[in-house]
Amino acid sequence: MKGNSFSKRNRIAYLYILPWLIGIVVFSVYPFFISFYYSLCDYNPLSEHVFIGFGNYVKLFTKDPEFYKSLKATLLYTVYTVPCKLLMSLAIALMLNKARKGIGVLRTVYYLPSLFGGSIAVAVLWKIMFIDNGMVNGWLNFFGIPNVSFLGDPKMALPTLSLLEVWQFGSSMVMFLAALKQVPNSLYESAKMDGANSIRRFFTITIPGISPIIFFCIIMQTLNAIQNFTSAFVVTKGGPLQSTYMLGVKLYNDGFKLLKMGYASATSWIIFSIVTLFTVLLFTSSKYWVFYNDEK
Amino acid sequence: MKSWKKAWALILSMVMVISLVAGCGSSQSPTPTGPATETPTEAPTETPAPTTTESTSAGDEKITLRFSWWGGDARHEATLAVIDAFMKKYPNIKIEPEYGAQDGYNDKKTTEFSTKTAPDIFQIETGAGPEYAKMGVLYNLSALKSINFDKFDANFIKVNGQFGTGNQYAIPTGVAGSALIVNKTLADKIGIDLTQQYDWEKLIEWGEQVQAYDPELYLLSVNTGNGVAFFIRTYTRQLNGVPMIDDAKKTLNMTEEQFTEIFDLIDRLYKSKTCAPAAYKAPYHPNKDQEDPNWINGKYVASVGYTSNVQVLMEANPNVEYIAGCMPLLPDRKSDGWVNNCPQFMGIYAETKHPEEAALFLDFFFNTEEAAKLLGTVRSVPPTAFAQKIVAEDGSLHKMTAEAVERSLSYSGFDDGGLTTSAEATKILEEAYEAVSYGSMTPAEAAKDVVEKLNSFLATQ
Repeated sequence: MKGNSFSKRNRIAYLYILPWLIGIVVFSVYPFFISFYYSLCDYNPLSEHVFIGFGNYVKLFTKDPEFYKSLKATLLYTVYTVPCKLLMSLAIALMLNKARKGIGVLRTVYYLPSLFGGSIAVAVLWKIMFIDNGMVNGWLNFFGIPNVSFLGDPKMALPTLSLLEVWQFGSSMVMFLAALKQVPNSLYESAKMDGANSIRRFFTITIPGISPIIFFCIIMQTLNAIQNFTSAFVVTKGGPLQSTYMLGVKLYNDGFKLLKMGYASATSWIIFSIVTLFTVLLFTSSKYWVFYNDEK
Repeated sequence: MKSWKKAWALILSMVMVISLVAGCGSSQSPTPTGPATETPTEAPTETPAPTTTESTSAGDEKITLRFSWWGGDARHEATLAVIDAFMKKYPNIKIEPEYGAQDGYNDKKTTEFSTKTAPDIFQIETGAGPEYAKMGVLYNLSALKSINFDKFDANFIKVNGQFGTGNQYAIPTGVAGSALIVNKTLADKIGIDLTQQYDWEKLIEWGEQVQAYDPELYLLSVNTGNGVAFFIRTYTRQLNGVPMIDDAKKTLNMTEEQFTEIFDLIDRLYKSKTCAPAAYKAPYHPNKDQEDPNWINGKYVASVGYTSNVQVLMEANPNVEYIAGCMPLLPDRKSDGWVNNCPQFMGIYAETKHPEEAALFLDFFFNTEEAAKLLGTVRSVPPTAFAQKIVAEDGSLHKMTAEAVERSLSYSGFDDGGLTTSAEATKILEEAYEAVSYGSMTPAEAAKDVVEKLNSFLATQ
């Protein structure tokens, strides 16, 4: 090799990654930049686009009350889902971290919902389960509780959608499970000998030990929540009374129903800005609460 | 080490974020259906031109056309059978079917138009027809020699598919209209006669009668989607005799007071529980009462919808007797307001490379006995007299569908089309309808909101 950075061996390596490289440039990088340009245009895909500067952004912030409803729904959804999913996955991971008979089966069962991912089929299933005559109300009625309009009541629709997201906690759970295995047993034993009870051991050993994974899960779940589209679109179409009209649904409706691609692109850049802001804040705060094993 | 890890994590996060934004704005990426199929031979492809005359249907050139539609299983099976029959007759033309549910169909089409990947032949939602014609995505069928419209009633096809241009841009797939499908067994028990003409106020009187009989029953099953068409647009036409929006002047034909009058009626319909609660109906798709357990269990006296839904609604609860009910009229109306048009259109994509072959298929689809027999009434009552005769003779014409169409045709209504049924105007009306039906806006507030938003929309047209 001797410093020849473009040797035959390297060229072959580049060839191997070329398909991915082409894919990311064509389907991600180019649309990423062109969408910013479109966000500065009055752009109907069936006609020529006209450059209007920051007109779409000004309209979004000053003349579109729907935008604020969408923003509120998106942020509320994020606030509902991220902590709940995190706690749920950690709690189940702690439970499954103990050696017992049939633990492998239990782990698989708890992971199953995540195998379905954010699929249309799961969203349709959720809808069927939570409609007024659905299975969940059937259970409630069985225990003498009157029907709850999970999808028709504007106050209930967003929490119901959040529940769908929280239910799919399997991926985070698996990561927590792996992280828990990495925490040295010797630390627990020493703490036990020093008289630390289980709660203290959890907060002073377990949580710091798995903090990099908590950090990663918070980032990933926040990104997913802010981008949510499928459940809001399939289960409630953004309703009722726009209570689940998340930014992803607004973006879709503006772009593909009303053909305002420039306006939709501006919305997507606002989503991007929000996500970036959250990410930067989390990274900035991480130095105070995330601990890496290799830190000196 | 720590900072190196963080830098990588930040970069990876950014890549994921980029993938979010990348999903929007580009019209360059191909849609999953792929581009329009080209001919595998060396024959030059034709560009859309109104004077195209060379049909290659009888030649050796192999041609592939894409054809998309939406519907249920019965419609899919019948349409696929017609495609097979056509391909047997014209072995050099291959039809690739693309079919599914109606949900999202229109959105997919507009995306395909923007990426120039729309199918050669496609079914069109009735309300979207004029908008598509305005977009310039429909081929001028009058310029094609491979299809003729002799079997259609001249006035019917002029009103349905020419969009005021004098040229045929789309073909109506059947005869259809608004319908009130009545559970006669239940109506008789409560003592309601929907076979006699009545006015809008009578609906509320009957609604209260139904509630007094049993609070779990409702006179009407309607949700936001079809409520806008049934109550707002129809009432508008009855009030003024014209569509809500004047397309030529880009102005509203309605006053705020008139909108208040309509929203007041809607408000009273829901407060009196004449209509099933909005919160209950919200998760159900418009025109799909067959999925609503209340309909299946016979808890609605009538379902608001279209003649094309009759058969499926009856099959959802076959234990009761049905009739096509009369629909409400204003005593001092300027028009009956009720729509008699077609359930869908068929059209040819303006950018197709094979307009004559596509027209040949549509000619086979609409003008041959073989296709008429195969299609039966899967798209409501057929649009031509000869096909109607065939389905009447072979017994496939659904009796209640025919009755509902007849009832609908007894009203001298017209279709709005144009800006009145555009996606943005519809969204504005749906939001207001929903707000009033939930009681989160007063009729006056909803009227003010609608006028402001519609005027704002018209200012951009």
